[in-house]
Amino acid sequence: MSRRLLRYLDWPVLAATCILVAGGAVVLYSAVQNSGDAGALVRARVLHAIFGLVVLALAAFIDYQTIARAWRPILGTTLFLLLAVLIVGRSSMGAQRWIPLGPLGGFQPSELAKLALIITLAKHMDGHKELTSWRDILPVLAQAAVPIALVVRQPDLGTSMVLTAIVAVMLFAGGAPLRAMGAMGAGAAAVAPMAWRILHDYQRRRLLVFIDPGADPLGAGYALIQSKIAVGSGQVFGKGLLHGTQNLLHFIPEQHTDFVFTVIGEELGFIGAALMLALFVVWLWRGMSIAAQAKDRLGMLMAVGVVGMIAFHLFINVGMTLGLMPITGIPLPFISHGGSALVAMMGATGLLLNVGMRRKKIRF
Amino acid sequence: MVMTGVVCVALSVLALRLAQVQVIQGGRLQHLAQRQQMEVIAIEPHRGLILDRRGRPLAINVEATSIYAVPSAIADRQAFAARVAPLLRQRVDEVRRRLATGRHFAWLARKVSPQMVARVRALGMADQIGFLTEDKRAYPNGPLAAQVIGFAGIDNQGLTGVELSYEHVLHGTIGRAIAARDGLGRVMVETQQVLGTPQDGQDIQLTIDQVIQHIAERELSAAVERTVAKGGWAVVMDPITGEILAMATVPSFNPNAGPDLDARRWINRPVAEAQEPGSTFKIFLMAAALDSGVVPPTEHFFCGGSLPAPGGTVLRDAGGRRHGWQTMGEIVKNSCNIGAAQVGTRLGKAQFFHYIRAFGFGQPIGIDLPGESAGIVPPPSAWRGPGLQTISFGQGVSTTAIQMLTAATALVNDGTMLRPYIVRAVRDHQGRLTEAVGRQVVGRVIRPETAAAVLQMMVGTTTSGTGTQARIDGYTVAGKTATAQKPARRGGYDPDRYVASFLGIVPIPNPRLAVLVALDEPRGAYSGGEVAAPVFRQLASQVLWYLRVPPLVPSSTPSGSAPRLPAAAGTR
Repeated sequence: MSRRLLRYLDWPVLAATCILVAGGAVVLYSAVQNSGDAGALVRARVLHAIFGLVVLALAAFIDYQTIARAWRPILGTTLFLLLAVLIVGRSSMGAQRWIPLGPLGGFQPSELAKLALIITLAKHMDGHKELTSWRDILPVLAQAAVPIALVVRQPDLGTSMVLTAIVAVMLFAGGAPLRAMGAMGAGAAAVAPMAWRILHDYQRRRLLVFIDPGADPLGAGYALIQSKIAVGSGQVFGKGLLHGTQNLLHFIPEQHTDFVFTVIGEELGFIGAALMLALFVVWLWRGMSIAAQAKDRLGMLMAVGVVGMIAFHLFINVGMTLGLMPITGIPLPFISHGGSALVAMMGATGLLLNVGMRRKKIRF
Repeated sequence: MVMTGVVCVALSVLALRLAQVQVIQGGRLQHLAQRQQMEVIAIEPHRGLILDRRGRPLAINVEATSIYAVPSAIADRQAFAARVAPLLRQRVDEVRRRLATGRHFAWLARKVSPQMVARVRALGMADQIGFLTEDKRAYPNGPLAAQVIGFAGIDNQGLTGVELSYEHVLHGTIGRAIAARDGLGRVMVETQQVLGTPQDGQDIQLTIDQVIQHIAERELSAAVERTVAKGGWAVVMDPITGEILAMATVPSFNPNAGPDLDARRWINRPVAEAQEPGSTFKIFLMAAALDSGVVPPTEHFFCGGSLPAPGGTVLRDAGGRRHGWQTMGEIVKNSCNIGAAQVGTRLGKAQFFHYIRAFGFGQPIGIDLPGESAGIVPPPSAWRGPGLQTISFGQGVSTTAIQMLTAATALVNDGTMLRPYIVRAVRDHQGRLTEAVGRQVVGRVIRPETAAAVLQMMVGTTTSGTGTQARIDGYTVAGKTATAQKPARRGGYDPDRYVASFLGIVPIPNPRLAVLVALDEPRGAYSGGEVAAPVFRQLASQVLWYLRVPPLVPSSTPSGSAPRLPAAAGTR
């Protein structure tokens, strides 16, 4: 059976993922090369990548039907951890996001929430073949609202945006009428001013300087301006790996996490950045074709959720580095520093491969 | 399908934006990146020294520590200012103002005492406060020749005196280095690349002799004190070369004490201030009268104590004295205004003006010191009423002391005038001579016979005229006294404010010194002969001794029977 499964394994997705993770580790090393504990950071990344491969394999080979049936314990554990992080969590950048795990570092339950939400919503919407009435849609929203609310409470604006995007994409793919989508969009817009209030000061400033980066070039607008300078100064061929001057001289804040794309842009130039985008294009294109050829509605919804999540991450992160989007803490998939995110993304890749491998009835 | 479309559009937007930022704007952004990553560092050269004519230091450099702050590393500026201000002896808002002057670098205090440095260092705020060692200008002789040397500012830039006029020589060339700067603006020293090494400034050797300068200042100060004058000035020149041996202005100031002093004391009055010359001007009248041939040397003039002059005024001699019939030499000797006015009348405006200009009056003499005054010589068309007559005895024109002395050098140089100078040599920091200044002849003003004749008239002044108090045992002195009334603010002259001066050349023949001494508003005795001539005698006799100038006439009190040795060679 495993041989037959392997026949349908989507090699391009797996290859793109592995190249992105391996290449990402090199870029990450460049970003932290003179930070003192570069060795430790890279060792952690290798460990996380190996662990991520294990999770990817598990998520790929355990039948997604089986995984979906386990949605209650998965969601339950996620909600429990999200609650726990609010109580015992470690604070960073004015938000409580981490559960300390001693020598292993920390664990970010909000990353798990992304996977849990995809699985839960897919399973639930699989149960409702039609999503034409509010009676069908509202329970979906209610289910999603709890983890989103907990993430907002941390507060983690970026992740809650990702979760919301996942919900929207999956509802759309599940057949929710455009009318309903529009209504929900309007509702979100109505709630937005309230969201403004719960934002931290730094988050509000980020949104304001997005409109006018020159307003505070040394304060909130600094990252926006500097990341653009870094990427642009790479020009076509880049300054060479490990030789980005903006990078080495620490002009970029958070250059190994959310702004890791500046290192790619500066050191590898337009060629390197375009290559990275091409890898993601391969990944997303294969992902969408997996969703289209999925054996059943559950598989299709899972694949759409995963593809939507990665696409959203990619667009928001790169868009923010290039000054197209306001600054929000959304990591670049497979590349940004952060073990929980890497493992979650690789797990999601596993789910996608899972759906792909089982796309057609197995013929004997 | 819809999702595929959305993802395609989103990815295309990213790719296009990437191309725009990296390919189209790449060059400009790269330039921005380089600019913010590079810091140009100026490497200051050492300022050249100022030495006296024998190499004794007049202005040197000492090391001093300056304190700066790194504003970008200071989170709470108010707290920082409150903590640091008392140690710097500054107000808190002043420190805050300083913090606002730069993002990564702001001076807190320049060139401060080691005690203050130690106290600030003890705060231990190594991230926020830094220390730099700089050169600080120091003047080892304090107020000696302060107006001539001038002083340099906090950035070692010359502000007055020789420090200013020779700034281009003393300053040297700033070296440049570039170094990488990190995102916090800290310069990374290990990345520093020197683009140009600094060139130290060159040393300047003045014509000033520290000892003669000291003698001049000591005698002048004593005279100012004795006569309760407002001040005074004195210039000692070598009349054969034009070198300034001493130039003193009293009261002086201490350039080491910093610039927050009475700025009027910075003025180098012998060069920068023009005064009415008074009777000393008569020697140039006589030179003009004789040289032009208008007045024969045998001519006599009658002084009856007063003289009706053009414009309906009546000129009177000082004290209403009647000198009777006088030769031109006797007019000089007695400093007779009535006689001088008649000589002037005979000479005529055009001739007199021609010689006044030829002697260099009414224009800068071109000495290498800043702020030189041209003096005022009105054109003959403006000599209204008794103008010609009053100018003949030194009223109605203004001259600087350096102009008077320079013009007088023509009398001992066969009628040719020299350009006075204050810098003798310039040497680079390795001691190589890069510039040497010597005697500069400006041009012939009068014939040699005229010069000799006028000089002889001046000898009469000290042997039996108004300047007998300038006599020096063993030496023949040629001189001229002047007691110039100071112009009143509302026109005319103040009856009780004078500049008493004496111009003397010694010894005759073979003069070594030309000296001008002036006292500003002496109280009590105020005439040049009574007040300034004795200062000249004190000053010149000590300088002659210092220069080992042998007496030419047998001393009235021979000192023992030992045979007199010839003068030591090379004393000049």
